[in-house]
Amino acid sequence: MSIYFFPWESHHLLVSPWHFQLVLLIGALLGSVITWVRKK
Amino acid sequence: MNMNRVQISKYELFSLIILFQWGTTIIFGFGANAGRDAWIASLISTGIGTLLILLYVLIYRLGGDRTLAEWFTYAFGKWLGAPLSWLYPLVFIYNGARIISDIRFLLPVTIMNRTPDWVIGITFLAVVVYAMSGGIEVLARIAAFTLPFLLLAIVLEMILLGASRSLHYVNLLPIVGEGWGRIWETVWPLGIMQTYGESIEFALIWGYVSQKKGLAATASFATLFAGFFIALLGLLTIAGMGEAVFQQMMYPAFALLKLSKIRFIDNLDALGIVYLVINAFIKLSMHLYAASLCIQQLTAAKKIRPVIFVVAALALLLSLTMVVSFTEHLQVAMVAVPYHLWLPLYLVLPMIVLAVLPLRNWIAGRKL
Repeated sequence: MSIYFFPWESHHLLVSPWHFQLVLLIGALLGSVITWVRKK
Repeated sequence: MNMNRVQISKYELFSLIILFQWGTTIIFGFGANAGRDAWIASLISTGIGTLLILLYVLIYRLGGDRTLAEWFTYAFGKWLGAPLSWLYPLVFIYNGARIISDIRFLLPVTIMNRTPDWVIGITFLAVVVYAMSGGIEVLARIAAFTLPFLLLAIVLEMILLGASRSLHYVNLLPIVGEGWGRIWETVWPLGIMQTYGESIEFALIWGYVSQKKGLAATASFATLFAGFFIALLGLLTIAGMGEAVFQQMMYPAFALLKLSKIRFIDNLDALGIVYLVINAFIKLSMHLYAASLCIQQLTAAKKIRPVIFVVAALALLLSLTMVVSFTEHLQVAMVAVPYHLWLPLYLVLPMIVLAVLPLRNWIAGRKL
């Protein structure tokens, strides 16, 4: 596994910050499913 | 949410905001890019940062004392609001992981040379999790208790530096000699976003303050107070070491503390470790507690403790995988994170919410 594998790794963030932004968006959407289900 | 049982005083909030805003800035120094004018950049950032804090208080008030986790669902409805709200705890966890990384790398190069950095990170996080389990009241009391000691230490440091004739104010001249360009580059967006934008987390705990009246005054006074001391320490560091050394040092505050030499009172860098550990403790606790509170409210979880453990585990995982080069770790905070994460979340989205809230309140009023 590359040492720069994780999108939040510093070098990765400097070169392609949109990878981490994408991870955040996916995480937020997954979390939202819990909110939509539990707060009907 | 029912927040009546847990309450913190205005002084406790005041202390929390100050220690949070000092954070690791007080050790890493503020605005090295602005050179000998870093203290001016710090003062300007404080002024604009205070306006930003007032913006958050205004949204909190306009939203009917709703917390940050509820702003977006109130303004945009649950389908759009929930994903936007979830971005915040995720970024707070990332910010917390950055603090753990700072600790992991700073302590081995200063006092604990032979201790593996992951041991330091895990131990520090364990203490933070223990304190967070006690709730926001415990964190607030720790801040209220430690603030006077830190202020005393800073005053003592200034007296010793002055008495040992280590400060050369000629190092500050010429003031704004290189123009306003580098000052503004330091102020925007890093200077404002890092120290003051992050204070959006307090929008999750304002509901716990016992006296809501004067909340804006307390928050803005604490911000001005914190900013004044950041600027003052920057000014002393530049006066003590000169612009070139200030810009090259990774930890200028430590170097500044070593300058004071009066008879047997020297090597005061241990005091720097005290600054760092207390401020990093409060900052990390606030990041992770804010993330936990946000997730608890978004998932309607009954207890916060399980959420705290999950959040802390995620922060540790991120921290252990986020740093290959410490130089790049610091660079990210200057060139990537302020533009790609903090600016949209700490300024753009709150501004949109502020624009939408009056309309939302008008619609809510018509329905009654």
